[in-house]
Amino acid sequence: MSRLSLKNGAPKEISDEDQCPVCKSSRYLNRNMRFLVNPECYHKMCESCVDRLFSSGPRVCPVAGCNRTLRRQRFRPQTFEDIQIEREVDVRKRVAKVFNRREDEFDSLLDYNNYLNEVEDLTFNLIHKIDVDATEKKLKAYEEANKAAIRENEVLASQETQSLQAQEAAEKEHARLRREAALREAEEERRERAEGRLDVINQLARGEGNADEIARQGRRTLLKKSTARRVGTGDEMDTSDSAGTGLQFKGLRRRARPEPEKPFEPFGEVTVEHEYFVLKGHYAWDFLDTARTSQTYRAGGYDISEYCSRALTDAFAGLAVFVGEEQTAT
Amino acid sequence: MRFNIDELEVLFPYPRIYPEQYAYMCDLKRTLDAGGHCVLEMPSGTGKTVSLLSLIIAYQQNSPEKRKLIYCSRTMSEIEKALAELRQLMAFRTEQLGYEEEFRGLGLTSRKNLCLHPSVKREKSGSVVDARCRSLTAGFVKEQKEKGEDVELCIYHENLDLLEPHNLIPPGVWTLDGLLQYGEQQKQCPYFTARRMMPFCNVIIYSYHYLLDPKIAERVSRELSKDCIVVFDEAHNIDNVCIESLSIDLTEDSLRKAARGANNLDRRITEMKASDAQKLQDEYSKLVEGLRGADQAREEDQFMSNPALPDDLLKEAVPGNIRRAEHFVSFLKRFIEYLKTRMKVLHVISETPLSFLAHLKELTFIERKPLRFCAERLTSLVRTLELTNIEDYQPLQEVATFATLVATYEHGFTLILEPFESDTATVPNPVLHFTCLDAAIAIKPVFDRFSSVIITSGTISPLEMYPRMLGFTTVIQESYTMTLARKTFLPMIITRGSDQNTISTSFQVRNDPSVVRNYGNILIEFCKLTPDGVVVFFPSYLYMESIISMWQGMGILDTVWKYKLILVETPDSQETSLALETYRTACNNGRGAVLLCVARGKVSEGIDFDHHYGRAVINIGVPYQYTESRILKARLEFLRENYRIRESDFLSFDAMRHAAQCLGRVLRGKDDYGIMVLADRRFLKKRGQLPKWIQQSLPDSDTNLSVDQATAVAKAFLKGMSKAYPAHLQEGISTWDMDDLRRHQAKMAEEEIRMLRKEAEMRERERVRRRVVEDEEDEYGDMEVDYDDLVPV
Amino acid sequence: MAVSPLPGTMPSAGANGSLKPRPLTMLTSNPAGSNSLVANTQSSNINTDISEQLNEEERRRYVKGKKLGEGTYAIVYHGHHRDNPSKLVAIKKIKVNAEFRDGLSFDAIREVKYLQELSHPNIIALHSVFSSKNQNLNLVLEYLPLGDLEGVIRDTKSVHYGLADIKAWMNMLARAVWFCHESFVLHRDIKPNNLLIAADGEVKLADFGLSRSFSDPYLNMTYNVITRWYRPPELFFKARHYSGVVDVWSMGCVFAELILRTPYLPGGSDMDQVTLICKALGTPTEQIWPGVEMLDGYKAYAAISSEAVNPPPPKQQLQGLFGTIGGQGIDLLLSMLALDPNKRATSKQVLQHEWWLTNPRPSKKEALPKKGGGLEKVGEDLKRRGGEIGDGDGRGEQVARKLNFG
Repeated sequence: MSRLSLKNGAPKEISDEDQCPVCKSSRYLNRNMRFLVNPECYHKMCESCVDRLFSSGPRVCPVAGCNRTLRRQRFRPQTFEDIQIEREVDVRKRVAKVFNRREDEFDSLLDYNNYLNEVEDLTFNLIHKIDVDATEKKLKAYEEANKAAIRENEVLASQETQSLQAQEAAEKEHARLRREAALREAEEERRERAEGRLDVINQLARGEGNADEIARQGRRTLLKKSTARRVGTGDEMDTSDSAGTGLQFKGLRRRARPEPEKPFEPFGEVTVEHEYFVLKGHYAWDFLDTARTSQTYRAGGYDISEYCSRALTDAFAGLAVFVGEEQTAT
Repeated sequence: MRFNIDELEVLFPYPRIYPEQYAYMCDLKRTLDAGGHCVLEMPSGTGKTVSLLSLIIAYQQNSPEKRKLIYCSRTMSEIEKALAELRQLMAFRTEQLGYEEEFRGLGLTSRKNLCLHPSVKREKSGSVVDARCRSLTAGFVKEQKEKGEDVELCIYHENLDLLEPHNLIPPGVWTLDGLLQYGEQQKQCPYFTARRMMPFCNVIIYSYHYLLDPKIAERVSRELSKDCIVVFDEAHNIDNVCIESLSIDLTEDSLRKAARGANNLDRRITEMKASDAQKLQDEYSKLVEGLRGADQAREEDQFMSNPALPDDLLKEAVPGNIRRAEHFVSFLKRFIEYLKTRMKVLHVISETPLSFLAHLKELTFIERKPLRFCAERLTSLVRTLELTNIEDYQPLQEVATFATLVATYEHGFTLILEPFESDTATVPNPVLHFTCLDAAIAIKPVFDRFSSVIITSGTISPLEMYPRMLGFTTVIQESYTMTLARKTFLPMIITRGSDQNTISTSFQVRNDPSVVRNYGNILIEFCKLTPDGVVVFFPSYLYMESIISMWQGMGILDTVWKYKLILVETPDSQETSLALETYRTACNNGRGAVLLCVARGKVSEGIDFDHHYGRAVINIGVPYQYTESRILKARLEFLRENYRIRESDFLSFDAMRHAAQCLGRVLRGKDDYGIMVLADRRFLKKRGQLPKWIQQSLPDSDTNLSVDQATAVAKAFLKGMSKAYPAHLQEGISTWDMDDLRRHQAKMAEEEIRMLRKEAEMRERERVRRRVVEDEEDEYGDMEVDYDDLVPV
Repeated sequence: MAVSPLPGTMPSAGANGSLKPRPLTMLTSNPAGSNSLVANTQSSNINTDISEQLNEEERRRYVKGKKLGEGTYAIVYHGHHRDNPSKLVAIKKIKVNAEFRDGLSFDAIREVKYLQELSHPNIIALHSVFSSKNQNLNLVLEYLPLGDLEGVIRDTKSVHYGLADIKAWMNMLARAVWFCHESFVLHRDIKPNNLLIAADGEVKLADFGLSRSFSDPYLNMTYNVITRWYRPPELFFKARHYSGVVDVWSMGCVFAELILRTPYLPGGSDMDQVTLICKALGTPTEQIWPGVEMLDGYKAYAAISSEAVNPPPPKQQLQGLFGTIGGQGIDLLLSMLALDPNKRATSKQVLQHEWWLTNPRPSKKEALPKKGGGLEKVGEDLKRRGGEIGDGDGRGEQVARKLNFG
């Protein structure tokens, strides 16, 4: 949101900066005046001048001495107060699009730094209009030569931005949830306190027992509740980071795409087989009946099939064992 | 007196000792033995400083490592007091031991306080003194002089070079005054004497900032070794000091100045290119190779230094796109321009460093990494350009520091842009607050670096809050009570007026006429009954102003006027010091006075009202912070999410520590007496958060008083106080002589033996019990487990 | 009974990807009488000699190193193989204490008895057992240097983890529990600090001091097991016959704790614990848990005898608490924390749940957040006897220690 608001932020001081250099009208007369620039020459003028001059097609810049031809659709609001910076940023945008190498592509940090230095030199030349032609040529040549790498890095960069945004959004969402949780908790505590007080009053009203005792009792329960809550539920907030990082794509930076992973196997590729028997759902054996029908067995969760399975395994465990082998092994 | 704690002989420069002092020393020793940190609370005026010094010096002198003591305090006067105590202690040691120990103790304060240069010392502002001093003492200035250029040098500083570098000043304890005198005598600079002698000192006493503010700490305290014992005295506010030291506010004005600074740099670079291009080239090649620090270490007076940076970063080379001076300056300009653009927004924005960086990159193509190096790179450039008028670049430095911090810390900081000063203002005056939310960040290097850090104050309750907020663990957390032969201070909580209406400064009722009148009655009654000085604290200036005008209307002030002179604290420090002076005079000459001030103002923090200067202190209302402040809100949220400190808990803790601080103002020793009034219904529930020594003297019967009851209690108390109380009655109770101490030690030893014996007994009993348990039947019939089962696998 | 196959022939987990559970009874006798580890008074003299000889051999295979920690029950040493010093182990020496009549604590015996049967990547491996001089029992255990899961959960300051990590840890725990159950062993003391972390991040279930095998129908089991905060309601109600799902409840509590980063149901007493359970998950009644009123201990609790019946919590409420794990995650968590053991998921059903397959995929073990544990921590973790927690945090006392028939 901050981003949008930048544009409608109005400069506060009334000075030359608030006067249109073309029509000389100032912000005094028109509070909603907006200035636009054209990246062709960066001469600023007010919106109504732009409308007036360029709505019927391209024209030469009205600023004296500037002979550039400007088109209406390229006018845009000015972001930076300093027009030099406005221009510089445009240049940088262009350069950065081409020179988007990443640190991990270089063997050493020194190499990377040298690369950065090179690029900065180049940019600097373009900004300060030194050797423009030669520099432009270099830029072009590099672009031609490295098309594939540039595109690849572009994709990577946009992925990074996306994941960053997603992460940010997730963090925000969590902050919100935590805030709400904290509020809920506080609310609940308030409510409980109120209830507790009511309780005490009711007890007193009924005239049971000693007043002091009841009051003290009431206080104590409240206290206990609140401490219990603090230990127990009050602390869900700490999952914050867990959820935040949960959305992160690890290893995004890696060049070579890893093999697609096999689907996750919850059992960890371990299987347990009972080779010698198949467990039946029901064994008609009186010995088991009590356990099967008893309420207390059921309520405790006792599972007869667990026993059966164990008993059967025990019974058949010796089947594959050969005494001869055993002895030689010893 | 001389006595032993365990095996350690402690020399204590007084013939008597308070029991709590002894307990305090024992705990200190345990902390040092364990090599950990501690938080200790000891009532104000019970000789905390002397106990600290006696024990630590004894410890230091008796150990082979001679661990250095770094004692940090808040104000100049406290530093001076501590130095005086130390001096007295060392004199006592010499007398007792019969020989003088090889010992140096020094205090360090700003140049402004220690300058002797005839014209520089006359400057009023600290930063001007700093800047002018630098221009007379910097290394390259000297070089220029040697080359025969016409530059001025400071003779006091120059003279230091004639002395042996490790013996600039003879051994002993030097108070700040003493240092100045010695400097004047020997014509040597006291400031640099202290700075350069720091590695050779046994005790250093200076302000918090020298350790906590990363910009200063790096420069001043870098060479201190790990086994130093660090003490933060009066540390109840330490979390805020930490936070402030890492927070930066930028305004449009400061950005304009920063931009001007950047332009100046640009010009200087062009000049230098024409005159001495080699220097720039040298810097460049050094940066290419990632060489750094070699000559920097020698430079004792850098323009600025780096905010807390991770070590690995400091070792890394400066990124390639800001290596060249002109690239870097253009980088800075772009960044400043971006900040200016942000300032134009007309609504409040609060964002995280990460989102700030993302937006910055989108708009200006400034990456995070070069941003992190900003401060560092600027330092190097300023040095290369040999700039002397450094104060002009202060705003630029601020921007660079901001750049570095914002790119270094993803968490624990927030950016808040407030376009208007207040909610009602219509003319924008934007401020970009870059606020540190996590006190632990600034203090972490201290805990990481030093093995024993002692945090102590008269009012530092609840103790456990500090380790939590500052992120450390303690060996000992202790709060000592005050042993008194008779009750010399009277804390009480007034919850209602004589008309039984409750009183409170909570928002709903604070302007209620009955509340205001009842507060007025409190003021009148206490002004009537207390002799000499009365101090009254309000939660805020705003409330103070409104209540004073209401009192005026009710005629309350007229009544008070009959008994006391009325003085008021204002945000202006000049006015306030004048008011204080008048207050003191009125107390001295018997007219008596009442000082109305604010619980978070200057008076509440640094000024003592001992003896007749303060016989009663009245806290009107719980001094809560202004919760609508966005910075506070952000910090509360941070504390909740990261340290699980609930907002209400923190606010209440913060209010109570300020309240306690205010109460502590009037009681500065055991021979002092005073009344402490907490006037708000809400104090009733919060009394558990007061320091232990205050709670101990606050019986339940005094926690829920009406104004008339309170008046009666206070009158009775003052009557008691008016009776003479000869010192010998205190002996053995609130003061111990050698015999009392020996008796106590014997008792403790006995106790210990008893405990040990008891423990052994318990253990025996436990053993028997266990045997019985095991004899009982086991569910498995495990008894039958065949030992053959236990085959090795 | 059946002849026991020798340990050497036992298939290992990695070898063929298939493990056979080894029933307990297979080991109740060992006709060769060869590998005894403690001097056994019942053995003949000849046997004693051979066993001593073998024991000596076994003992010589390991080199005992520096002491890592000491508890009342055991001392833990660092150690390594004599022939390969890079193979690290932890050696847990059980103190032969006067307090035990037979010289050995049952915890130790149980630990050995069950550990040697269970070989699974998520269960701590017992490499060997031997006796040393004074007839001390020595357990050679897998070296797990990175502390336990509790340390990770508690270190909210420096350890940050996410959903994928929780999923990975829970899955490892679920595999371990499932494998125990398939091998007919009830662990009965599952809690974060019994989940140790190997150097590669793998979580391993340890401390089998309270384990037992699935019971025969008419043998009573003790209800006084499992650390209180992780103990299921049927044990509070003194059920004498229960099944593997008691461990599943504990798993559910661990799951919740991983999410909340604080114990989910930290009761201060048994009474309090039941109250907490009722509050969080509803009061167990005859309607939702048929037969529960028949259990001995049911009536004893204030939370139950009082009139107020807490309904099971609405899903929305849990959403607030556990929202981060998603709808299916909550579904799984609830199935693990079902009050009625018959409705609770079995350990197998837990692993069959579809939550494991949803996004995000569980983190790779190497990528899991770690907390630097170091050597001391290994000692800390292993020296405890079952159901005990490191010194001085007051949780140890809440643990059932005494096993009785009652």
